[in-house]
Amino acid sequence: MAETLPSYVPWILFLPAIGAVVQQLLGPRLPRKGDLVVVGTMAASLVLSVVTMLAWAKLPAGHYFAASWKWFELAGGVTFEMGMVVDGLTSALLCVVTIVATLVFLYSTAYMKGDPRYHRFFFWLSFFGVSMLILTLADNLLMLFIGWELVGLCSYKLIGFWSEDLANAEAAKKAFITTRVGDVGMLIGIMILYTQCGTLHIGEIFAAVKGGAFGGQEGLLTLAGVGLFFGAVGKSAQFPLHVWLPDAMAGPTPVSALIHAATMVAAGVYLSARMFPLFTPDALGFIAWTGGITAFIGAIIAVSQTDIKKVLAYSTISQLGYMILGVGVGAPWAAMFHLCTHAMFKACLFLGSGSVIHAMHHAQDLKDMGGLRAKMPVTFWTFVISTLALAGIPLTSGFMSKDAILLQALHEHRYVLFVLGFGVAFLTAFYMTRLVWLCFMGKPKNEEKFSHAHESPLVMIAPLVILAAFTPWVFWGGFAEDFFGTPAYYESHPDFEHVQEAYIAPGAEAPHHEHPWYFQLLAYTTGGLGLALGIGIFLSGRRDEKSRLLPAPLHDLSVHKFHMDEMYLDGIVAAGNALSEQSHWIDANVVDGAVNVSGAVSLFVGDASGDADQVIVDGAVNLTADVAEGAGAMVATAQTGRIRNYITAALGLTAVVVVILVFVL
Amino acid sequence: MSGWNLGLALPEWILAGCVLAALAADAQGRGEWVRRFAWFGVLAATAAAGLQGLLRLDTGTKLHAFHGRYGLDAFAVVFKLIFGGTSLFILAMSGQWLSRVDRGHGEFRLLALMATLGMFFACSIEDFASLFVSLELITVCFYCLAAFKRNDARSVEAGIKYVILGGLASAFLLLGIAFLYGATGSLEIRALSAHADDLGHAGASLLQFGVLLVIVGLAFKIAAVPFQVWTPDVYEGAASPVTAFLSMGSKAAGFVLLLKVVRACLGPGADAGLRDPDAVRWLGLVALMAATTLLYGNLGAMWQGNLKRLLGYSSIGHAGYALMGIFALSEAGFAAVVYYLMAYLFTVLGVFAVIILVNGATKSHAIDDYSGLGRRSPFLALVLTVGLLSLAGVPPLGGFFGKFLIFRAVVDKGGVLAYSLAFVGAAGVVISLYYYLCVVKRLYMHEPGPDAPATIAVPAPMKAVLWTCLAGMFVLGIFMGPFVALAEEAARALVASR
Repeated sequence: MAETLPSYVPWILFLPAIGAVVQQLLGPRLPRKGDLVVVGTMAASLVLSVVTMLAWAKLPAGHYFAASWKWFELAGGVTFEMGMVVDGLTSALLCVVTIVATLVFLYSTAYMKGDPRYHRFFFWLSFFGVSMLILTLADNLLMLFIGWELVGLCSYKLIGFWSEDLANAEAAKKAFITTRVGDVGMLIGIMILYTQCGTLHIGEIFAAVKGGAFGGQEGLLTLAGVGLFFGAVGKSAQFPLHVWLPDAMAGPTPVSALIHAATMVAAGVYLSARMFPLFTPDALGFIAWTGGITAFIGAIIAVSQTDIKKVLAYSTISQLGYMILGVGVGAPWAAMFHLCTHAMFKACLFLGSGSVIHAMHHAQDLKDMGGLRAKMPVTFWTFVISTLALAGIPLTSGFMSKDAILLQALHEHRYVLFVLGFGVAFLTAFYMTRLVWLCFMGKPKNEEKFSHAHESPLVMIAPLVILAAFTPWVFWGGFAEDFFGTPAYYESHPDFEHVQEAYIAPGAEAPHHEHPWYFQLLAYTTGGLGLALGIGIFLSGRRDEKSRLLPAPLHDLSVHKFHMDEMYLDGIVAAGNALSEQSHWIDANVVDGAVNVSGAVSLFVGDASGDADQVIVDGAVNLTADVAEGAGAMVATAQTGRIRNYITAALGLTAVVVVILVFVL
Repeated sequence: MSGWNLGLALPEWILAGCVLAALAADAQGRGEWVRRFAWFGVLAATAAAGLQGLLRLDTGTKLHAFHGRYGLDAFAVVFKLIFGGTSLFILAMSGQWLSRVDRGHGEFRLLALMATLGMFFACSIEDFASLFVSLELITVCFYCLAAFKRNDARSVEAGIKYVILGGLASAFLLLGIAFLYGATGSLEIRALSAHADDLGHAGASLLQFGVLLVIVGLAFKIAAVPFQVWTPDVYEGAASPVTAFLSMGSKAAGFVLLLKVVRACLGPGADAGLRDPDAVRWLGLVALMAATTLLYGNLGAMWQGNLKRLLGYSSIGHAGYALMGIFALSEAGFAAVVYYLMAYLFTVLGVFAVIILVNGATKSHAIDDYSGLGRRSPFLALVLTVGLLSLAGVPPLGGFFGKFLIFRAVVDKGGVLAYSLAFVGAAGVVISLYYYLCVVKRLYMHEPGPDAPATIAVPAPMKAVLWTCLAGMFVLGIFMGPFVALAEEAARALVASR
């Protein structure tokens, strides 16, 4: 049942938007370049999100807030709407996004201090927050897609924020293009749904599907579901499109924490959970295997990485795989639960790594670290606590959410994925132990850097402490039951039960399952075993190179990241290059030219403007009208050769034309 | 209108087949085969278009293919002949120029062939989606062509400027198309006809903005205000055959599409003709665009010391004249535009053929280096002189008669706006006479420089181009009857289709 949207809910979105605009326009003139405006509006948004969540929780079961406004109408009565919906799914993600965003913004004020483009950084950060909230609040696929693309844009700008280094620009480009591949699938899915259902409103789509919009065309519905899921594959870095996420670590570390660990990459999971009733059993099978394979590959690669952020990046890929696996085995509530818990402890880990990197003067290689425990106690302890949660040690949040997913896998008789899941849990505990050990324990490996290391300032460690406070099990106990224990948020979609009955494998409705004894045994010991093995290996004094856990062939694959980058480069990219000389030529001359245009143009401007200004007066101009002469000179000097002037001229003249159309004629 | 009727698109099939064949040949490094495919494709497609016009079309008929997305009438056929002719000239002219370039012979011809395919499609499109695709097919090829001399900073600069401003124009065009789709619920160009009444109403509407933005987007192709700024730089920087192709093919493609859109806006009028053009609210805007365009071009040209740059400005000016013909919003006006473009074909390509030859010998485009060309290479100087005079509109040359038809259509329309526009146009002609004659003066009255090369050799294909252009300029200025009939036939078909 829909209830009237409380009037303050839109302000969750508007406040950060106003903050972003104010900061962008006045930023350079405000004290501290306006970062406090951004942090403040996001904190206000956090308060409103919590208020909203409490308001929703008071509603009777099956009720939710919704409102929509007509956006524009096309001939033939086709209308497009903007709308917001607040149910359990929305309010949970709202809180997670605003909490992490507020803390990361705060943290960034110290981390990015002194950066020459400090104010631009905060603009993109706040714009990201706005885009993510658009995505979260959307009640229709159009608005969701807009938010989806906007977070992609912000991610692109922030990964390449230090674009002086070509590698960062390359990483940004890679992220943008790779996720775009998935977006094409998503767009196809949206188009199929729109064609068949005649609406983009998510609730109406479910109703239409229930009403037989796909009458008998199971295959098409599967295709629509898989298409939408492809968007998630790109955005949530699932195999085989996961390759962009490790490279995305080129961005500043707060960006990695907020966008590439906690929120944006989880958008794919959110989309899958939101659209869950649409997935046919075939589509769910596809989703489950994608998630399982991703979780496994991510964990394997994480074991051998030597860059602190790369370990965390592959860990994120692996954990996102868990969430997707949760959706695939019919437990989107468990996936969302894991999304929320993971967002907290992974953001804490990333911010912790940022604290370390900050202390080590931007060294990221584990080979340079070690022994930092003594120098950075707060960072160390919060890092350890989050590591325990990630490793799924009992009494932590990660333990609960991970087990919810694996239990569902067991009940869906996905035994291979179930075993794989526990294997990943074991690996996770191991590689995180390794990470903590190499970073904080043992003897310092780089004395010079170590000697300069120090604990980070308060604004950086406070977010760490707050995020770490979310890891104990107590915090999530009741929360999980209310929000994720039953698929309550699907009641926002009319006739959900029918849709669900038709398309979800039997038994999926009941989230409360028996815990068989072997499940309990595995759940309680796996994490501990991984931890123990890790500690054991390092306590025995072995160096990292010798502490190989994986058998040689798997270790090779791990070090070489399953050769995915090479496969893309040598396979797809090279094939494309070899296809014809033309495409290569066009790429080199035109596409790259356009991409690098700002650089190229500034190179040529000197040349061109010099020539353009040399207006040659051809002898004595004996034209009767001096006016024509003057006007001609004006035209010729207007031709500066600078492309930005040309664009301004084109836009300005078009504006003049529009003004004439509107006001004169 | 229904049915695929695939055979109707025979010229395009031929071109598309040759594009693929040439692509394959070029990938194998068989440049010679690319040349053959290009020649064969353009010749066969032009012949096929001509034959289709002769055999399948009666006066006033329009055939459809692809479920109404593709139309063939006299208007389309006439323009396909114009484009076919342009491409043939370009292929003939580029041979000599390419022999001075050490790489990319295949690419050049392939891109030219692809652009021709886009132009042929542009003649026949019936909906906005196809309009955009055909336009982009042309434009993207020209992006590459403009940057063709990739070791030459000026050429690359030209390419980049063209890409960026072209992208901007495409964005406007797309936004306009989206508005029109929103307003009419259809992508068919002729759907605008049903809404012609709304276009006459006061007050800005989605429809008005849509039409406006489409026209602004197309202004880029024809090099008219507000998208004229790129022209001189790109004309100067791009290789001469590319500039020639750009000034004729690309501009005419813009006019084909503009004519189709403008026609559809005029709706069904009395006895299936045009409605009263005075009911069209944005007429004043077209007049303004025409006036500012031709003034910008002609005034800017006065100061140029580089012949190609001068022709870039002059090309803007000519877009202004042709826009005057559109302003007339009558069958006579449309016919005048078609005739103007026919005459422009022979004129501007003749001029560029001379430029390519002279540049081959002097490596320069400075007007100073044309000093005394009349003594060194009398034939080249003659063609250049006749070409410039035809551009200025001096009788008895084709350029004069084209301008005559346009001015007549505008004056026939009557009204203060029309007379003012005609006056501005006349002023433009006077100004243009000045700067064209300055060049002519240099050809004959100035001594050649000390290091000026002696007689410039003219290879056989170039000779053919030069003679054909020379003959064309005179024929279109003296024996204009059949060509006027052809242009009127095209305009009649355009008006009849809505």
